[in-house]
Amino acid sequence: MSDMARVDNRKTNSTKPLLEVKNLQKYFPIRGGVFSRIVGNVKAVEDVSFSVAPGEVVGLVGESGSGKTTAGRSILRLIEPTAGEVLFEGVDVTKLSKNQMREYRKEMQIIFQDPFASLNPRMTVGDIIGEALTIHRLAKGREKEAKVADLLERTGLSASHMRRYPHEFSGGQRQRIGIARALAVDPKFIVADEPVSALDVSIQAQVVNLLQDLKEEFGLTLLFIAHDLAVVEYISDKVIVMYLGRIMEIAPAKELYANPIHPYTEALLSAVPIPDPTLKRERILLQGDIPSPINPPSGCVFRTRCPIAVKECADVVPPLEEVSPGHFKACIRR
Amino acid sequence: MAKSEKLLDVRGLKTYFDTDEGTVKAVDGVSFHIDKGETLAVVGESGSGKSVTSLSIMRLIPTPPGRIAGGEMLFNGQDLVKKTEREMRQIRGNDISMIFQEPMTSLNPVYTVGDQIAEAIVLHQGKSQKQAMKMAAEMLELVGIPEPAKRVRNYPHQMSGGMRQRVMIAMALSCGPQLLIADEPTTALDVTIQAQILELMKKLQNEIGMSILFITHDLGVVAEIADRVVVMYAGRAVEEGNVVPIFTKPKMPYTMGLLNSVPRVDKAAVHQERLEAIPGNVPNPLYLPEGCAFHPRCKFAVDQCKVAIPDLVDSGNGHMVRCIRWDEIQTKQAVVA
Amino acid sequence: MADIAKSLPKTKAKKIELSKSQTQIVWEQFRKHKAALIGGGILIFMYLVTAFAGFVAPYGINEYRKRPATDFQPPTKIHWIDPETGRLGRPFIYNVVSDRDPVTRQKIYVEKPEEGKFPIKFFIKRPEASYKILGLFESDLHLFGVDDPARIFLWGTNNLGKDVFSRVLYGGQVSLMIGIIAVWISFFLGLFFGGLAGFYGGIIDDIIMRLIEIIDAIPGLFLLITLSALLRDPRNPIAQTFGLKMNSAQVFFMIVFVLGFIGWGGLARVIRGQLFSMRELDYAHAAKSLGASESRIIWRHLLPGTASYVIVSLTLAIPGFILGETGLSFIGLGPSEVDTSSWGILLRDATARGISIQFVPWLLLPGIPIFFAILSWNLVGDGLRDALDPKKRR
Repeated sequence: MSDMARVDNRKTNSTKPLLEVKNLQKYFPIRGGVFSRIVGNVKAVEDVSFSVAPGEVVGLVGESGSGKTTAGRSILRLIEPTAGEVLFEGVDVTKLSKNQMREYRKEMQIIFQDPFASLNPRMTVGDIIGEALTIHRLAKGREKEAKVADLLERTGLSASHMRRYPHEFSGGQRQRIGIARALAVDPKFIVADEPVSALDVSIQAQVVNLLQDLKEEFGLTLLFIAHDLAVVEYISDKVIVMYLGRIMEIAPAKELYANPIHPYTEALLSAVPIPDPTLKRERILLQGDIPSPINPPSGCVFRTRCPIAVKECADVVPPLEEVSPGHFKACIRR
Repeated sequence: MAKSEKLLDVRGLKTYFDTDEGTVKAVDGVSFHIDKGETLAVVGESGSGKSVTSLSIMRLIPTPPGRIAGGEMLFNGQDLVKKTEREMRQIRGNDISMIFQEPMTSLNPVYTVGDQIAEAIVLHQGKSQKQAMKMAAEMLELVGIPEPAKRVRNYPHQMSGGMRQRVMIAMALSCGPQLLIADEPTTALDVTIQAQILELMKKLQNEIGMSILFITHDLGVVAEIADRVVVMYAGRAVEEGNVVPIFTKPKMPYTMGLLNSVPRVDKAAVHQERLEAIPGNVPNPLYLPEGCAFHPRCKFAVDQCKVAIPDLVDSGNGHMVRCIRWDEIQTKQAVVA
Repeated sequence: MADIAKSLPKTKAKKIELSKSQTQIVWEQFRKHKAALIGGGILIFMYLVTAFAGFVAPYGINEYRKRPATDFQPPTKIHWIDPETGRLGRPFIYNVVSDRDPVTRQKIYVEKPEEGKFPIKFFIKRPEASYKILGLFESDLHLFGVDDPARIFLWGTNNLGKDVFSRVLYGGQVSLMIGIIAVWISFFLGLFFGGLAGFYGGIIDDIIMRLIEIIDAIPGLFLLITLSALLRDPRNPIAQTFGLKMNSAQVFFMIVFVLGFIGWGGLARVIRGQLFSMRELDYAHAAKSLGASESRIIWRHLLPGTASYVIVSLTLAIPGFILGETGLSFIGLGPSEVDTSSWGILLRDATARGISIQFVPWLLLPGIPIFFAILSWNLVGDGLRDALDPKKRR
């Protein structure tokens, strides 16, 4: 059945994208000195472009400092992007006024990493999930309660949890509450920002499965941000690999894992530990640390750790080129 | 490694915490041993008691509310439980040392890393400050930090997370301990850095020959580094054995469930198959289920599982399992296969 | 194993009643803080007693006798042993009259047992010291007292012969209330300016922060003296609107205003800082992503989060205000001592006209309630801080 669904997705791939990100850039200014002048910038996201088709799950992978979370939040304008366009159904949301944006937020939602910080500890679960309904005047009173109860049941909780407070729930349950909150407005698009990273191993799988079920049920389109390649592999149709604010590679999930082109993707894949002690792998061990995003290397940002880097890599930023249908890479050496 | 000699033998360790709401039996009768030169991984989820176990061995349990309520921990034949605080101070950092998950908070931000490594050397080996600083630089070189002579003068905030963890390892190894306890040493690090640290630990063990007690929740890391494995759940060891049989032929349903629920990058062939999740939640250590603590989440559970806590039994070749149905389940699995 | 079996039914019962509100949790935590509970008890006692000062005090706030005068009379000795039977009996006092020390010629007070015993009576009516309870009900009933001509001065008298104990009770009304009212003023100013700075940031934030820094940079005592002297000057517009000479109620409010004005800066800074850090919390982002307006995020998600911090800093600010009033009154900038009383004024008595404190040590007794009030507010503040901080929950 899921195979069928995927075939459908492939079909819709050729239609207009739901979300199109063009040359997204986000700098965080660093202020210093007596007059708080801008003395530098943290270049969190630099020239990021990709698109998400309706019904597609796109995985966004990277290590710390890769800018994946910043990219996710800039798309939703939770932080204001420095430059670039974010076209949602053809409308550039970065150009919308605050009031227009508030209306648009119904369509785009977010699920957070930390299930403890993302729920207001002073509100009941019912109030948390129902808040969006109140804000957008979608339902009130009995109707609202019924909707919240339905959402709780669908996310694997029970309607009786409505009057409880977040602190009474475990991490996995809180994450379900966060998912129910995001679903309350019937969004078309959800950014899931490391939704399982803070959870126990046995709970991670539950939440990944829940997201997959809900995706089918609600026809959701997901941008799934994670540092864990294995989780992304299970849920995504397409995977974007980021490093130091830039995209290194974009490929259909299957293809990326079977046939990684970019040396960073390759190293990342080989660094992920596999729970099989009998497996003997050739490991590509990257040297050194991720450079500071305040002063990223010139040219290809990965060249300082790249095992196959040459002098030319420092000269130009490698463009993202399509090597096979849907498979893009930013490397002059491969 | 041919002739196995027990370095640490933990027998029936019980570490309890007294809280307002009752006694939390964080570790409740855990037994295992570590041979000289081997790596034992203790794996478990939050609340399994794995970290409390490691802190108990170091006798670093905050008392109150915590206390070691029973058991013995024989280190080279001497019971650590009976040691005075003064004797423990001699052992800590010298015979047994520890590295933690968060290298930033375990380093003192106001001293240079060289000073911090040298401190232990001066304290335990009676070297002069100058000698100790020289040794500190050598240690930094050993853990693969470039330009060690310069780096000893750095402060922790001048280093990256991976570098700081290397410094922690250098500090832990500076007095040549027989046992290194590593409590989730790579959890806070990125995968590419994690790979570096794991590689380093393996290399150092080969060179120095210390034993490692590796605490983690990550099964992938366990497969990579461990010789033997103890799986913990709700304060008890539920399965123990050599790493290969544990991963290839797990006998405790919890271990099986855990292995099935972990997404694996190498399973691209069966891409997008659903993960097999373990239902339910990790139990609250205050209100553990009756009988086998895992039974509410176990697909093989029968009424009998609710009656009594199963014993840890040897299923052959030292592969220990805490399940009354392990034999039945194994046969059933074999038939299915 | 048996333990687990036993605990299981209890577990289930507990799970059902688990839904505790935030307030319940805080109260439960607060109850565990013994010192804070004791502090709270002392405060409740003090506020009750001073609220009913007219009833508890044996004499009126300004009541004194011209002849025979009672100035600087030491605390009256209460006798428990009946001289005739030698047994413990109903407590009584003797009348006390002034005399001269035969050697030093100093004025001294001596008991006159020959005038008979004056038993301490409870619930007596003294029309010469009538009062209004809470400013509403007029009454002349007193908790205790003695018949004329004897006088019972538990804590002695001041230079005019007024009963220090009664004046401490009345003075508490001013001193204790000033703390609370000043804290409210600080609270509203701090919330307003801190909220403004934290909400808008940018230039408004800069202006407000600089303003606070300027106020902070002026030495506190100096500012207090300047402000109160300014406000008392008959030529200044504020004083003129109140009439040329400020009466004691106006002086009272002036002090409250001065104290509140000095205190709001710290609170505003706290609220601003909290707002800034909480804006970055995931649940604030979550509300934003749901389409919540800025004001909804502030009022519903951010300000309630600052409440615990604000409550604690307000509680811990009260002792400062009490001491502030005491200090102001002590240096003579408080309400005039003719028609009102406060703990600071009472302590000022001890410095009056060059008298030597070693001969009238009881004039320092008003220090005791000050000490307990300050200590108790601090204890309560500590307890609240621990109870409201989720990290410190036990």
